[in-house]
Amino acid sequence: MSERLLEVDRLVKYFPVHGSLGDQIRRRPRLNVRAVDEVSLSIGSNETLGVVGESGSGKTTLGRTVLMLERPTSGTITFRGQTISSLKGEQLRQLRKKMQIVFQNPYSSLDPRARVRDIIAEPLRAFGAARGVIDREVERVLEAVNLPEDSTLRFAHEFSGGQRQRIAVARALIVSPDFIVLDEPTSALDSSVQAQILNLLRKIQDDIGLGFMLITHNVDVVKFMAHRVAVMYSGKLVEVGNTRAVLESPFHPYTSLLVASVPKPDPDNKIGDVNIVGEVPSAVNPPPGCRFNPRCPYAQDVCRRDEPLLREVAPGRWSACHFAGELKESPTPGSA
Amino acid sequence: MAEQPLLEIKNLNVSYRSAVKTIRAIDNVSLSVNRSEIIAIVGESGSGKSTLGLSIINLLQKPPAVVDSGQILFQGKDVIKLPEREMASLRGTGISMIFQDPLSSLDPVYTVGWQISEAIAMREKRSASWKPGPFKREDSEPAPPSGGARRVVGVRLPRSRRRGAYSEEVIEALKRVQIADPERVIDRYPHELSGGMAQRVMITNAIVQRPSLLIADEPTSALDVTTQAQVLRLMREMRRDLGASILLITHDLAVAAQVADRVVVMYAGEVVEFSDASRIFKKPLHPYTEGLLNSIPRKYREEGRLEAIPGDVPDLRSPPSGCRFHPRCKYAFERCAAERPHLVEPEPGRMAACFLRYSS
Amino acid sequence: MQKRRILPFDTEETAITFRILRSSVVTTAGLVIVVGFLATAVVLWLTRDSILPYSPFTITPALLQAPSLVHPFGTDNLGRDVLIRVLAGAPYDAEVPLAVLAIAVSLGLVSGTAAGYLGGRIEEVIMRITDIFLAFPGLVLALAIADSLGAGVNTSILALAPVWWPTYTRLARGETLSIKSQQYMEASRASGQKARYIMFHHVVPNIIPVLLVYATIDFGNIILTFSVLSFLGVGAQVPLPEWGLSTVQQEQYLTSAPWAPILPGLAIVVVALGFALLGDGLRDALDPKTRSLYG
Repeated sequence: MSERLLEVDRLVKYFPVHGSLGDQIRRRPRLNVRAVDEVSLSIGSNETLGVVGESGSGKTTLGRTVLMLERPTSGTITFRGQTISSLKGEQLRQLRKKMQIVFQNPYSSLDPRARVRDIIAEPLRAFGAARGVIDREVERVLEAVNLPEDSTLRFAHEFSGGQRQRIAVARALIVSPDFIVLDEPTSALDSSVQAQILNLLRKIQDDIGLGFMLITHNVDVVKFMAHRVAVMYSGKLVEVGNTRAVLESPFHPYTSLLVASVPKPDPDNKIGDVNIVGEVPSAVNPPPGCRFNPRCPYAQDVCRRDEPLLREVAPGRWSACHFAGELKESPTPGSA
Repeated sequence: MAEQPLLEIKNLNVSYRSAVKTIRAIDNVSLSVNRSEIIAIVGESGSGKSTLGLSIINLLQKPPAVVDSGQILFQGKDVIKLPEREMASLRGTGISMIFQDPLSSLDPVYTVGWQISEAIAMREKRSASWKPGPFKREDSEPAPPSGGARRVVGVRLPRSRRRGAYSEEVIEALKRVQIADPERVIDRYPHELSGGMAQRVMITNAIVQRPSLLIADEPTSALDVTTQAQVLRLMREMRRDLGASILLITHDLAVAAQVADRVVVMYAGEVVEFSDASRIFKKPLHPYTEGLLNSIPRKYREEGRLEAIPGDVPDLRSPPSGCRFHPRCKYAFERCAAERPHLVEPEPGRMAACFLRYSS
Repeated sequence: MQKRRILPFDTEETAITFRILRSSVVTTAGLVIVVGFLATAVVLWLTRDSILPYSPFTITPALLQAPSLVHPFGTDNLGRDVLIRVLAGAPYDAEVPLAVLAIAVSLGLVSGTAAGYLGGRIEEVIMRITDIFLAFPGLVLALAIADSLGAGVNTSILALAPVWWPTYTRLARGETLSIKSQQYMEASRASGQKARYIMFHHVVPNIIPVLLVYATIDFGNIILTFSVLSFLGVGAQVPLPEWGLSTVQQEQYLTSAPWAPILPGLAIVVVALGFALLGDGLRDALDPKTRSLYG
């Protein structure tokens, strides 16, 4: 089997919570926000893995940790066969030539005082490219994202949200990376523009053949963009598999719930009685057993006791549910 | 059903003026809302939808906003011409509004219970049967909580959270928006709630006042999709239980489809299509609506690309000539650049501002 | 949007700033005062007072004359024309604040940015040194340094700079910290940029406006403090026409010939006020909400 572009093995990222002075005096154990809790996955070149989740799922932290913008608490990240999770300093910096990111907010991710040319050229400049090379590459990526050549001398604030996001994509592309993390790339954009950017991203992947980790809360976006999808809930992966298979016949109750909650532009198809109660659990103090159990309509005793592991329940289909595969009936968890 | 509409907007024009430019945010918009009706106003940025919502409840920042002309008739009275005192008494119990970010709409120093009680108290004061009593808790303002002051000092003393006078009704109201454990929630402060719960508290605040018209400006945009599904269902129930009309402002056509009876599509300050929900999604009359529907990524990856609307939302400082959408429209022809289309009615009950729909 | 020329700054944004300044009488007045003052100072410095009808040092027998057509501001106790002396004093009261601010702002910018961005031990060291300087009341510190270095205009600059730079360090650090969390900073790191580049290409350009606004307001304060130093005898020395010095020299004639001490003192007040008004206007001009109303 060909080597996977990116492999993540049991990745953990905790953020310490500062206790009160009273806690510290009483030597209470330090609490952590368990943002990413033992996630394992892999992405191939020319593949888009969609990471879907709601607030508190940990998907954004996953994206940033995979790029080593945050140091993992434990676990391994392997990129093109090389273990990168232990890199530091200059070696880590060199990684940026091959792994890039596009952020969610096109208004805050571009320096308001810099000209477009400087914004886009920055990754090249970081590695000491010559002036002539820079000019040529800036032209190349501007064309790739469909921005006019005369954009270079303008300031970022003269452009609309969609155009700014194109600038951000151009910046990510200029070093010809192998892998890009797309963190909610269209969430801050108008719908008509979102479609343009999604088309653009697919075209780029088809032309160049890079790997994408697409992080989003929008199930429709992941449907359109991703070959495979990973569903996250409260820091853990609950389901992974081929996009169509997962969305059409989910192997985890949370996935079913998520899919059922997506509104469709069809008034005859209103979301039925989506039987969901409660809130996303505390990331500091998750419930024992399966993290979804307080809200799961199918929860049994074992769910409250033992945490289910992500296992392959069918070829290419992974699920972290004790009853995965047995709950294959209606996608809407109707009231019992 | 020939009763007078609850809300009638007639030829409204609103612009934003600054030292150097004038932006026409709402251009000759007319629409009407009947009782117990849910209307969705759908548009992207610059469409004027939020400005419209704020105009109806008269909360525009003036300056820089200026109402150039038009009428907004709520129960027959022109809201634009009302003096502020009368308008203030209309807000809350007549017209209510909820916003996208619940945390900035809830006062952080008062508990949930107190804020809802305050809303109920306001309703009671305005009702005909209110009599000022000799400081009896039931019919005067709820006692202000000491919660705020005590929190400033930083020490949380017991008994520092006052519930307010109408605890029972508050708890009932919270139960109706499906907040679990309302007895505990009423003692919480807004920042202790999750986004979904805070939004539901805000909705509770609005509905306990039993408004005739509720304007909801992107109420679910900041919420998770699972929470959004609950809130949308809640809105349908509100219409049923309270008989309130809802004006739902959103950028998401799918959300509109879930709750609306009729849909108004706005683009660059104008109404481009106005139709009942059952027909607009199956067969949109305006190319922009059609483009918006196509922009929703409903296909799987292997099924091909999306048909995206090219170009960007226009700069309102210098909008395109003729039909504002024509530079991006795949059906555009000569007339579209030269003349501005007005709304016509190609089918009964459906209106569109597009030359393609002109019968002549 | 025709900005093809490669100027180092954004011409459209500068135009908006000017529009905002011109919109209010008060800030326009400040702008006029500041520009007038600086122009006078520059011209007189370049020409070494030669364009004045006569030298500010010329002693005449026309002592303590009231203002007249010949001497619009009157004369002082040595028969020197007060108007000429006020004008000739401008270069000193311009040079000192400019020099002090040049040192203070650049030192503060570098140290504050480094402290804010790099954090850790570096931040601790820089901020504690800053705290030490801040612990001294400004005037006392300036006096002490001026006293040990000897009196004079140039030593005044060296005496005043240490009083002012800590404020800019604190300011720069605070601004750096708030910018640090902006996403474009993270984007820069993700692009592989090194800390030094990020500090000077992203942090500095974005925090300089705030520092400059503060410096504008401070300009007046430095004039005042320098005048006090001269007043106390350790700043400008006789017979320089520096305003603070003139004021103290003519103090005894306050009741008999009030124009002599009051007019140089008034010059200090007006110029300091002008800078304060301009600085205030610039601070408003930085606010994005105001900016959106003007462009």
